[in-house]
Amino acid sequence: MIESTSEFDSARLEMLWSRLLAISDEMAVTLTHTAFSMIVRDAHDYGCSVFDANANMIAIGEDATPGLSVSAMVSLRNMLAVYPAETLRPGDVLIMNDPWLATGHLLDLTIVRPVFHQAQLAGYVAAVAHHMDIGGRKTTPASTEIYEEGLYLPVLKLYDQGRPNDTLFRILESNVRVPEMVLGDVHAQLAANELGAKRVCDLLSDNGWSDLNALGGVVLDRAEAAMREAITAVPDGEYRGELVIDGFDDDLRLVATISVAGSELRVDFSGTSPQIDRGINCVFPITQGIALIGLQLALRPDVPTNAGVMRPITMTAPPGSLLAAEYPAPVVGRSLVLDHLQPLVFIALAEALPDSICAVSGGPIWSGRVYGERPDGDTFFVLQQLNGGMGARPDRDGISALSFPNNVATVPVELWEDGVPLLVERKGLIPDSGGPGRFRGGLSQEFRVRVLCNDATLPIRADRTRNPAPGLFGGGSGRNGKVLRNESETLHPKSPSIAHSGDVVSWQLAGGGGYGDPLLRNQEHVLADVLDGFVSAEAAERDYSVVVKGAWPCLALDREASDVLRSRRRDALAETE
Amino acid sequence: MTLENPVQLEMCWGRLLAIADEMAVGLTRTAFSPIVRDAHDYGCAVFDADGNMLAMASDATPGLSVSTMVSVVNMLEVYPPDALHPGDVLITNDPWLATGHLPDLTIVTPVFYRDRLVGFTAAVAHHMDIGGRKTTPASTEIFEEGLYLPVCKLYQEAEADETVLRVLERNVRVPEMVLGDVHAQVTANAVGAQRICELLLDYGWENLDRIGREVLAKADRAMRAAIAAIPDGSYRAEMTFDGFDRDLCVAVSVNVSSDALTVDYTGTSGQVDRGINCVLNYTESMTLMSLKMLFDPHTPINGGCMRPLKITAPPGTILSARYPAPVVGRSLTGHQIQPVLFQAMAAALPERVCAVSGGPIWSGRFYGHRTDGSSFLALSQLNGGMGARPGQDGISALSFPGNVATIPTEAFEVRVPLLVERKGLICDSGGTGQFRGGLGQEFRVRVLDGLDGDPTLAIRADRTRNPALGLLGGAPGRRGRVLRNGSESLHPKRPVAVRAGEVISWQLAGGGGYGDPRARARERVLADVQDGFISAEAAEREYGVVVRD
Repeated sequence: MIESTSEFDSARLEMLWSRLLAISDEMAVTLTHTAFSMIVRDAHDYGCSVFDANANMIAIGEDATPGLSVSAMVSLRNMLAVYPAETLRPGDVLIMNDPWLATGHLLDLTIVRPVFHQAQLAGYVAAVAHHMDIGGRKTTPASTEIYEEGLYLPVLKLYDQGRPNDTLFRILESNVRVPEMVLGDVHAQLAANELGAKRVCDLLSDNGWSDLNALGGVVLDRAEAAMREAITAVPDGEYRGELVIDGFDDDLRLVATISVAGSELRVDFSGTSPQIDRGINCVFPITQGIALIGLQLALRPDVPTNAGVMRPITMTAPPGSLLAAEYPAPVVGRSLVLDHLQPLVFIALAEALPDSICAVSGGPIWSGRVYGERPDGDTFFVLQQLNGGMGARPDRDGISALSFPNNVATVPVELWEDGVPLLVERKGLIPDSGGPGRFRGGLSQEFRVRVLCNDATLPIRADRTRNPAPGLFGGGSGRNGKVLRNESETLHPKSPSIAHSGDVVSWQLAGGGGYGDPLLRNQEHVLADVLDGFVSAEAAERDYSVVVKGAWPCLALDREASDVLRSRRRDALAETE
Repeated sequence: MTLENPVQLEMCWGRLLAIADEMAVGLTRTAFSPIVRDAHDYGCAVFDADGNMLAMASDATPGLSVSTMVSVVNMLEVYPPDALHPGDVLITNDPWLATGHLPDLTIVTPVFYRDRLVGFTAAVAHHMDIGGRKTTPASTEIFEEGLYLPVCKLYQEAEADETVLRVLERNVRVPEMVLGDVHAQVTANAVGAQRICELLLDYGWENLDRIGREVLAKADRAMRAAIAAIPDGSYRAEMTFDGFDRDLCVAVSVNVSSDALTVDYTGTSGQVDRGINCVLNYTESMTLMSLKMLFDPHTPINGGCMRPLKITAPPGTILSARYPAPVVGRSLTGHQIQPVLFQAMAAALPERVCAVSGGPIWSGRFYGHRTDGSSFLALSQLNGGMGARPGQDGISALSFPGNVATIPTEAFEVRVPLLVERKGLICDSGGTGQFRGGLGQEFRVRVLDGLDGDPTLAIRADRTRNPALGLLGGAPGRRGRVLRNGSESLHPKRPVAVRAGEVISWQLAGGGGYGDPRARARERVLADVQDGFISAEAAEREYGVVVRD
């Protein structure tokens, strides 16, 4: 029991806090090293977190998928509502995938382990992993109800005082397409939790503590104070952001009104479109998680996430809206909406914090899943996560092929192709896809695949095919995305398609928006872009008013012509104003 | 009491059957859903300790006969007798181990008498919902069709397994109804168990072996006697049916040798990537039912009937589909088995066969939300016309051999914002013949107001391309169709969104005729015209009978 905060001088607090974070990071390493699937092992789609004995989240892994933070904060409390803390015993493990209690879709299995130290409840560790399959309709966002999306597990005990719940394991096994892989990843989550529990006990022993509450209390307070400091620096007032997004068939609207008063901040999503009957709805916890990412990035990117950062922040959304969808809404493809929330927050805060935000990225992440049959009759499926271009930043270009703020890694082509009748013909950047600006939006990429078997199912998940990533402060939009078959046939971005042997499917993602007036872009940078093949000579002239002469690679800037062109362009723009 | 003579044997056998029937009453009286309570889509049965089926409820759905027989045997492989205790209850809906699709929950209870395992009672019910894609046959894999429960213990020594109950609750659209029916099944099994113990007490037996041996042997002998009465040889037939998007074929060869026979479905189409595949258990059930009708319709069904029979279908065909084939709408294929078997045996048993019926059973499921926030889900099951028989017309609006009852219009309308505009026979839909095929019916509904969004209509229809064929000169019945607003033809097996004000008309297929229409008695033709079953034009054109006012 800590008597006074003097026990936590800065150096000691930093070491202890780092140790706490290291526990969640080490849990993540265990998870990756023991996982079976490419989603966990290669794409790192998971989150490991540590909680104090009062169920406050005090640490989450650095590489955790964004947005799992607030889900983690609420999921443990939701699970304890079914199995109260005082009923838990050593050897208990809880599991669920209830979208409304946690992360927003059935594919994420949340596994929680209470940590006991010297026979007392000292805290909790949790590992959430996005699994390869959970039954249902192969994750197509064309689903119309949660019932079509797979096995739905309420909060249950996976282990009861060390005894496995065989019935539950067998039910899980019977309802997924790749049981060995799913159960393998479940055991990887259990291993991560076991390691986390051990490290927590070591931390407690080393410091003579009975639980994590004292340390937890301090890191929560610190994070809260840091966030309040950043909020206070923003002038009081109301800041509104609006974005029109593709939706499923019809465009949808996202609205966020951010109100700042002193050190408190409120986000209200009123004005957002209602939920729809297709699988892109978002439950409120995950909406908050992604919105929080936007706020943290704009206000306080340096502070590790824990429940403390949420204390000065309140969020509200109308129940039944796209961002607070009600049961039994279909939700499997919610990232197709969620990935627009950080840009929405940035748009709202752009005027107040122009140097802390970036232009809109060519996200969301697209999923390149393919299901089919090998020549020997065995079924296969592979998953790819595809990034568009990042929006340009106040002082530099957007990174190409990075669907900021998403941080899932791409599965290497060699692994993806291995053992399946698919050939990757191209994985490369798309010229002219980045929004023009003083700082150019990141380029998107093309992922082009030749299918070598018949009746392959592609549950396509694409976005930004109608509403490109807008630029900021005069920057231009990124290019729209599209999914093509055999060069000419456009595939619906959110309905499943069937491909046959010889078909070539091309996923062409969306580019990021530009930042600032393209006419202010350094001419040398434009030349460099043309040399790199990022911008064509035609676009250099059309969008940047920069003239490049010669044939590649012997290109040179025609400064005079460019200056004249820019001058004329400015005059023309001034006239139209 | 003893079994010294045939009368006493009959009484004891009757008592076993009464136990199975009383289980069914228990099930119906405690069930929550209209499928079980009104449509009687279930089966109840009694087994000996080795897993032989001794008796089945007389109104059990035909597709559950062999399925239930093998379910118990399969479940015993997971939980052998020494793993079972008083108070245990087993459950599964594994299509390949049990009945062929996920909406059927099979619940089996071991029966203990004086601390010894003496048998099993089983109740199978078709549930209102099991999650998944609302039973549309457009499903492409088993994973889309709902919650899959492996063989597990629902109760362990009288203690409920919370995992099974809570997972079931979470994964279905109408949890109160599904769990209500599950408990009704458990009740039915308990009733059966109690009656079995009373029987053993009354007879002074330790187990069911004595009566079991007798009833199994009797059913075996009766079936053999009937088979022996027809000439040895190979009887073949082939029939085309609608399938999902393209026609498929069922081929059968019945090979009779003395008092035994084999049924071989080699030549049948391969399994498809839509939810109309049959697992072998289900194929066997439909086959047994058809053979019993042909050979031995009177002996109550039990495991003994199967002894002289061997039923095979090559794995990977649509009658023996492999995991993870989609199977939810298997009756759309399964109901082709009885017609093709009857066709194969028509020459050998002309007085036992009938023309093809306008089945399979059609269903229409409406799902949606009202503006007050409540949701609705209702099912209608519809019968086409039965095929004509030697000496009698086919019964109208009876999808022989299906035996599910229709849900009364009043009970249907009360659950959904629909108005039934018409439920009546379709004139001229019965196949012409000396004996006329049964008429199909029209079920016409108007979608009412008060809806939130567009409700879904999951259609399951058939015989829209391949009509029910006639026999021995009789003509085919009329094809079926589903229309929206009088003119738009809807796909018979895909779900569709509907709006307030729309009128949906299910027009079922008529049964095939039997014999030459020109041989039909004139009085019957006149009576048909007077009843509105045949038009005056058809009377003249098809039957050569001129009717004047």
